[in-house]
Amino acid sequence: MALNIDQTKFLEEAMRKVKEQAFYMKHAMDNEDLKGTLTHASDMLRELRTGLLTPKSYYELYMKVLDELRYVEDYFTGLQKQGKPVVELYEKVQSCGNVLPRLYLLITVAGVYIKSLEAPARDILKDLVEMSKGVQHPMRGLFLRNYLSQVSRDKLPDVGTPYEGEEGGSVQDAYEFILQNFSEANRLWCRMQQQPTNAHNKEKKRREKERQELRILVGTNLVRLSQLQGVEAATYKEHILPRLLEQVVQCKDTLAQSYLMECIVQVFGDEFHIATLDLFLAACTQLKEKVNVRAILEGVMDRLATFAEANPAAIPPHLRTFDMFNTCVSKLLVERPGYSVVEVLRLQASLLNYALHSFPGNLEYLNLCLGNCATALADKRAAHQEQAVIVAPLPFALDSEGVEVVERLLTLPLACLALKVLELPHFASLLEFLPWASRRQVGVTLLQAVYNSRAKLSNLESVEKLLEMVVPVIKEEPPSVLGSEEAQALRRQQNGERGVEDAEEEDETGASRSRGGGCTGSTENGKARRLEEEQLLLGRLVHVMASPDTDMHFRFLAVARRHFSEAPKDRFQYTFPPLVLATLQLVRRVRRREVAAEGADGNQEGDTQGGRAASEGASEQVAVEDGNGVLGLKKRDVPGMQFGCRKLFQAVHEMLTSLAPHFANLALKLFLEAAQAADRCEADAFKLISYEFVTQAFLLYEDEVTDSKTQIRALTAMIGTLLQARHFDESDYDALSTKVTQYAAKLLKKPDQCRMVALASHLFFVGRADEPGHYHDPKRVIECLQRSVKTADMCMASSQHMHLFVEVLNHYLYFYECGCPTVTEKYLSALVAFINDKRNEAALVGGGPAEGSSRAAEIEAYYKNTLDYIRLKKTQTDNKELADRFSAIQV
Amino acid sequence: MAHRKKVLFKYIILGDSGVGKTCLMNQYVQKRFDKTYKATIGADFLTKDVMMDDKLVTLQIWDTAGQEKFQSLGQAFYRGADVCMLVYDMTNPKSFDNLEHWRTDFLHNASPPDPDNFPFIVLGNKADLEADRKVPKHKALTWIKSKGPKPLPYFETSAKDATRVEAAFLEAAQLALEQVSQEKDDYFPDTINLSQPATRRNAEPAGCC
Repeated sequence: MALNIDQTKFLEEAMRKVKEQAFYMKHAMDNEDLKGTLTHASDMLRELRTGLLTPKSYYELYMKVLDELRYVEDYFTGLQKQGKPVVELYEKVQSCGNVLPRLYLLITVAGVYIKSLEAPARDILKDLVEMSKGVQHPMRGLFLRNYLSQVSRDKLPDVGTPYEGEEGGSVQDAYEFILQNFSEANRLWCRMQQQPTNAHNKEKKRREKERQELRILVGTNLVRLSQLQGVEAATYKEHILPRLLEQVVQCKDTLAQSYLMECIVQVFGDEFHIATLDLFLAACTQLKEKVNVRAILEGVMDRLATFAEANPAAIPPHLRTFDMFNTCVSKLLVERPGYSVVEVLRLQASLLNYALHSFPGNLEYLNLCLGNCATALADKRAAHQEQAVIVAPLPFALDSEGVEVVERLLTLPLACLALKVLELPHFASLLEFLPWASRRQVGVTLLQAVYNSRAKLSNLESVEKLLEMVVPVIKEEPPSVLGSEEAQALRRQQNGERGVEDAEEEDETGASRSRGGGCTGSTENGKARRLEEEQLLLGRLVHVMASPDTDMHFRFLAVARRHFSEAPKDRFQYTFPPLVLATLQLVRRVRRREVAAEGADGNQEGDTQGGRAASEGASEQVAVEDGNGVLGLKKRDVPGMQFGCRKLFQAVHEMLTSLAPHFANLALKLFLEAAQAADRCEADAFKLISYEFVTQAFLLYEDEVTDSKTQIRALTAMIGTLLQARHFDESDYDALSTKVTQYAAKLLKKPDQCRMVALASHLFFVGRADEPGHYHDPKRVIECLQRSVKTADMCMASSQHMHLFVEVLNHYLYFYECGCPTVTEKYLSALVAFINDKRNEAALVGGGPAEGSSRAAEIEAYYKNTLDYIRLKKTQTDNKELADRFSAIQV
Repeated sequence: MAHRKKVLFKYIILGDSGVGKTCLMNQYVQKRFDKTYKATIGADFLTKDVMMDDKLVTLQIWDTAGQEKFQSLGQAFYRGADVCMLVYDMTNPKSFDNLEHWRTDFLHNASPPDPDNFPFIVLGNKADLEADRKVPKHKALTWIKSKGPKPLPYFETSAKDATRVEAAFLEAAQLALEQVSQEKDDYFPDTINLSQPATRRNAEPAGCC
């Protein structure tokens, strides 16, 4: 703090003096007083000799001086234009007694001198860069050389400038000048560190901070080199880069090496780097131990990768840039055995990233990097186990940093490789080094990548491999063989300094395993949400599996089922439905093959076994009951097909049976789906299977479904399923329909009873009266409807009765129109009259509770529309018969 | 006094790394375009003379490093700027989002006398890559309108094919010219005493360079 106050004071004071001298200097200029101008200018410049300022304050002062020197330059230019030979000025300013002001003035005049073309640029520049050696104080020297660089910037004998020529020099002189200025600047900068100190740590740190601040004054010289128009890749390779690298390597200064290597990468163009990659990488292996070579390599790789992506043909393949980087990394690892395993992993991660971007699709490179990591880790583990023999500590585990890098190594290639990672043998071996939670994370990313790529899993090996890789998504970590204390220590080691969130999550899984939960609600929620998302993601995997061969496809599903079954049962709700639905989808394909084969059978054997087709149903029924499980296993052979529909249905049955105890509603719904699928098989052979599925759904309904709303949804689904079924035996259909109607009649709430019984009535009159082959039991229809009306009448209290009446009226109308013989105009007229009575009653009571409300208006409109419909039908001319029947209804 | 009648404007070009600050300057001053990315370190200028209203004006154009690590000595060069050009790359939304940061950084470090009316000019560069545009024009228009009583002048430029580069720099000069006519303070010693020039002054005039 005190230092800051001092700095402000020193800077203010110096600034004031600069402004003052600048004022007098300009005054002298106005009076065309050259001597006075120079005196005040050098007094002003003398302020730059201060030793009191930090680099940043000095920079401010320097900027101010630079502003003022512009007037000096203008003044000299004016004199030159008036005809004064610049050489005179050039000599005159050298008489200034003080070296720093003298050199600033000299450089200023030199700028004018070169511009005037009165002297060759080359000679003047050489002169200046030499004379600047007169200032050996590091900070002052660095700023002076920066001024030289700034002034000479547009006066170098570069190609295409007026300063180039026989006399003025060539681009070679230009880069020689810059190189020399650079190496002098670098020397000053490095020397700062070597200045004798009393080795106080604080002093050392301060010096290092100052050096960090001053570094741009060195780096600017590299920018100048890169701006030269006349320098081409060949020149750069032969004359410039070797000199720069020599400087860098030989200065043996960690800070300088790190910074300058980075500058070289950033400042020069991509083509230059491509032309000199070998030189550059060779220098990388010669840097000081503490230099972060990885950061430097990453810098080059990023540049080249970006460049290669934008200009695919720009890097000639014969360069084998990946091999060059790989060699460099290998060499580093050999020469620096002190590298930690994490650093080794990070280097490989950088290489892998480069391979991914520059050589997309090159699995060999990726596998190489992953293999190197696996080897490094295996070595480390071996060493650890050797030690363990003596001290017997924990098993080998990565620390948090290591986990992070390996996770990155495995995640990076996923987005572009997706399913192709299965072709990288080392991917799985590296995965094993990660703790469960990280493997789960990688698994999730892998799944997402697979879906994004829209690739399909089409062979058994891939299915197995992929499922194996995502095992941590499927199940919980198996209990450790370690004691709980050791396991905790291990987990702590792995968590280390990872994000709080992650660590919390880890803790939580640990806690829920050992103590059975007991965490705060919010993390519990978060965990549940995450689990749900992951499991849904996992379930989708089923739809990625595809094979033209139905047997193979079924095997895929069986493998998935085997894996999913090992998960905690609460996860079945996410993973089993896709499995069941995929199996039912597969049933359609298998059935097509069976039908085709049966057709072929029939043609071949039609004569000899004429009666078989007719008796098929019966023989199948026998098969079902022969004790091979609930559905029977005996299958009819289709040549070349192993798994028939029966086998598939059996699998579905097993899955649903294991799902049912935990998720009754879900299982119920899926049983009904399965029943429909079996019915769709269009053969009598499957009607018993279908019946079995429906029965299972009914059992679940009776035992497990207790909530009213769920009951209604379940009943609706049951009715829907039965209505769509076509192949039940009449007695079975009748039994099932009766059962559903009973369920409906037993619902807890009257309005629900009314509605569901009315809906169930449709089970007894499918289709129209004149449609053959449908189940028709008109007596049951009218029974249901009558019961619904009665129940509606009991709903006065809930004031829902009016709406229910109109609803039931509509059911009546439907059956009347279909021609159901029991539903006669007598019933309709009576119901309409009944409803009218109820309305009048309500009106008499003087506006029921619902009167005037929007609900009442809605019911009124509903009723009116229904009556309008009846009236419309009466006048319908295109169907005389129907119109006549409707006319019989009294509205 | 002829030499001091010359008008000089100091331009500062700011923006994220890789938006094309150096390329814009090179295109304007040297009519040259280099498609490879080369980082700038620190800050330095090129000058260009232009005629404005029959007056010779020197533009001192400061190109700056977009990467913070290449600006280790601070932003002393912001001081005394007459106009500030904020550049973003219209194919890079992040560079657009950072304009606010650059503007605040400039006002904070340059501390101009009238920050509310300091002339900024906004350049959406790489207009030649229209097909890859990621920053919709309306977003830029909304932003420039939110920055003061009058919307900031806005140009969609291409340093590569020189589109609107000249126009943008001239507009900037025009803004600077309007600003200068509002009078700039100049240093004046309290006492002109040649024998004892080192008199301590109590207060600096506001806005002195």
